[in-house]
Amino acid sequence: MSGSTPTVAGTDRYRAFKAWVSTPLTEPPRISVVIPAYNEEWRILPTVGAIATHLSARGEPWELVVADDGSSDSTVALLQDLRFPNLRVLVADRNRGKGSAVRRGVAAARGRYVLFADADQSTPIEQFDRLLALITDEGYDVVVGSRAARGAAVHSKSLLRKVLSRGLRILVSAGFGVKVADTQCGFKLFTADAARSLFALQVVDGFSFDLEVLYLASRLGLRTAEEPVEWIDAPGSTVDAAKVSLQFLADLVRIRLHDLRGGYRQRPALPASEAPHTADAAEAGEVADAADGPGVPAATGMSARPVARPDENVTTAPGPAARRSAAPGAAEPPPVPPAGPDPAPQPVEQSTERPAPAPAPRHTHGPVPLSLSREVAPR
Amino acid sequence: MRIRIDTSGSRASVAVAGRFDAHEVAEFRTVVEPLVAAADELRLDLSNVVFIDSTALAELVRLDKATRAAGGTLVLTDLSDPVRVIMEITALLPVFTVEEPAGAGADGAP
Ligand SMILES: Nc1nc2c(ncn2[C@@H]2O[C@H](COP(=O)(O)OP(=O)(O)OP(=O)(O)O)[C@@H](O)[C@H]2O)c(=O)[nH]1
Ligand SMILES: [Mg+2]
Repeated sequence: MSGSTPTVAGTDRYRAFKAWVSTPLTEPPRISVVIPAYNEEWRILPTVGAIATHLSARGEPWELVVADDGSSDSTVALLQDLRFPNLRVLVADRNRGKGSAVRRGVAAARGRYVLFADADQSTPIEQFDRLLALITDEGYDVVVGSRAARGAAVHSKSLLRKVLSRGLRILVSAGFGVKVADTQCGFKLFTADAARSLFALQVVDGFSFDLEVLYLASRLGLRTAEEPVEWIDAPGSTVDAAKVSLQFLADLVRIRLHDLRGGYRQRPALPASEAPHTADAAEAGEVADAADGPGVPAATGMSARPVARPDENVTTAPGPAARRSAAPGAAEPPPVPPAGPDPAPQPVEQSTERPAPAPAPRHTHGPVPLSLSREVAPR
Repeated sequence: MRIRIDTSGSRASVAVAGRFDAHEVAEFRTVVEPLVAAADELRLDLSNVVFIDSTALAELVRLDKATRAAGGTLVLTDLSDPVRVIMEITALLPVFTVEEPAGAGADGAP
């Protein structure tokens, strides 16, 4: 029995974790993990533990950002009591939705790669390494987890939601040209540049922000991979299925309208150094106001990334190669020059190191099949 | 999740592997419950558990109480790193009797 010497036991991963919780980073993090959290007092600590164990063991500087979403339970207190030097808790005064929480988290993230992951550890964090390799080795800008067929516990609530979402998915594919089959998976990885560009433009506060982000990614010409991940339907979802689906439909219309008004054209990216760390600063507010949302002075060195031809998204199904790897902004500037602080239109090429040739798309399936694979029998 | 059981005399050893979460608790209880009354020492090996959630943690607390009430002991042997970390940050580590594997630390198990 060795209850008296708890800190000596354990292996390398545990020691790496202990180092991470006892020493503030001395260099900028390479990886930021962002967890949106709304009333997660029951689920957040095991998730933080699992993520911290895995990420610390990678042996590179990383930070954890939990974006509270106006939780009314003890989520925030539980996290703050941990006193981890490399964990930041962004407290929101009220609940605005997952999209707003992720946006705040991403704005505060300082890593070269930014993962957002749900608080329920539905996608085991061990899958992270594979997603990151797609960015570092294959040159993708965005890698989204995709829920392949594993153990969806089909309680009526989630079944209803999945059935509805199949119809929505067809709509999304046809109407928005988003070819990612599983737009909603709560496990997505971005380069810092991609994350900043996308979340500076992104305005949807609720659950449909995933779709919006992927739509913007295709419009910005970002290289997007969809990678199958293990997914365990975690109990304790705080989501009302029917409500969410209706909201999703409403958001589709909203995204389209915002687009038509030119709202996605001219918001500058938020550089990490300037990113607001407080609850409200990064909020875009109402759609109508979003284009006038908090901008960032051009002097910071990050330039605005005008979106490629605004009319480009109307097509139904461009070929996969064109969809994934084109840098449409390079071909012609937007018809309306951006009015942002940096007037020079720039190609949307990302600037991080990466191999030059566009990788072949990993994701080749159409909009429908994946929804079938999710509806497997309970484990 | 996989569960393996070894019983020898008054000692029962249970090894759990994989993800130990709310989905698995019912099966875990079904398998382990009969051992509570039968064994003086219930040894639980968590070295191959990759993730444990709050529901499973609560189940372990319940099991610890049940074994005590039956006059036995629950001993956690060989925690995996994620389990150790999760128990530590949820402040549950001191609740359990944890036996470290030999060589793990200065004060390892006999
Ligand atoms: N429900 C809900 N979740 C939010 C909100 N803001 C942030 N989140 C976080 O978004 C993530 C997704 O929450 P879940 O309840 O698991 O929702 P889900 O994964 O879409 O639903 P399931 O598939 O049933 O698990 C979690 O990390 C939540 O804490 C909000 O306003 N409502
Ligand atoms: Mg979930």
